[in-house]
Amino acid sequence: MTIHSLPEPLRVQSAARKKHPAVLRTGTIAGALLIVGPLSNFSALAASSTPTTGIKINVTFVGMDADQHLLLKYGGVVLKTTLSGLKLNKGAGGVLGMFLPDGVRLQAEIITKGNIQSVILWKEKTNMNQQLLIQGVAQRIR
Amino acid sequence: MSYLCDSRLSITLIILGSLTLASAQTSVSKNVSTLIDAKAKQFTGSPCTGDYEVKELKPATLKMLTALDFTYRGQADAIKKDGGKVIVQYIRPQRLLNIYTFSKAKGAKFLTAALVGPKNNAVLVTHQCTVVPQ
Repeated sequence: MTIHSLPEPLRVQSAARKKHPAVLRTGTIAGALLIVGPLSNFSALAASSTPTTGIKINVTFVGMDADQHLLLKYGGVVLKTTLSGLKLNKGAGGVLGMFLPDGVRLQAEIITKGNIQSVILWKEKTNMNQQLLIQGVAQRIR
Repeated sequence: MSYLCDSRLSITLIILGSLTLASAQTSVSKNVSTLIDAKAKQFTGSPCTGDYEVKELKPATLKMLTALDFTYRGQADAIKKDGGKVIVQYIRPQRLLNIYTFSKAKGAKFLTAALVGPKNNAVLVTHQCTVVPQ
């Protein structure tokens, strides 16, 4: 099939690809994003804002405070954090204990900094942020 | 929440204490004190007033510097509620961390931590001193 046998819009696109191969790549990526976008709601939790450091720190889960902040213990110090992209539901303390029993060892991946840092919690290879969202313990914030 | 406050400002010792090769100098040379003074003045607006302390940790990694940043930021809110103050500046490309802390019990402190040397043989050097409260 030659370029001339294609319908007009495709012909233009095909010609553009020959001149600029990047068009093909951009188009493919855009298409993939359109398809994958609705399916990747959970992964967007981490990737939506600041780039991650990729550094995970071993912490121990302590509990939740009155403001629905997560308390994590690191090196004998209790630190106040939030779940990245999520807000714990009010009264979620009891249910939270089912997923994160007191003293459970986790890894915290720091996502954003500030007065109260937001983290993704990992329990071995399980993203606990996703789990808490799926189980209705937390809700997404924008 | 009281245990949050008990351990504040000793975070460095907790982290650094777990490392075997840590060394601390309470008396520092003129050159080192001048260096810390300059860093303190740049970050807090005033030079050090005393209590110079230098620590070197080896082997060190970027994760340790990030953990130090994490611990200070994580306690900032609790310290603020107690009338204290914490300012943390983490310049990741330079592998440098500047921290100002103030509490009624321990006064104002300036701490700077830098990761120096190659990736597989890096050293974490921390300089600390007291400063004029902001």
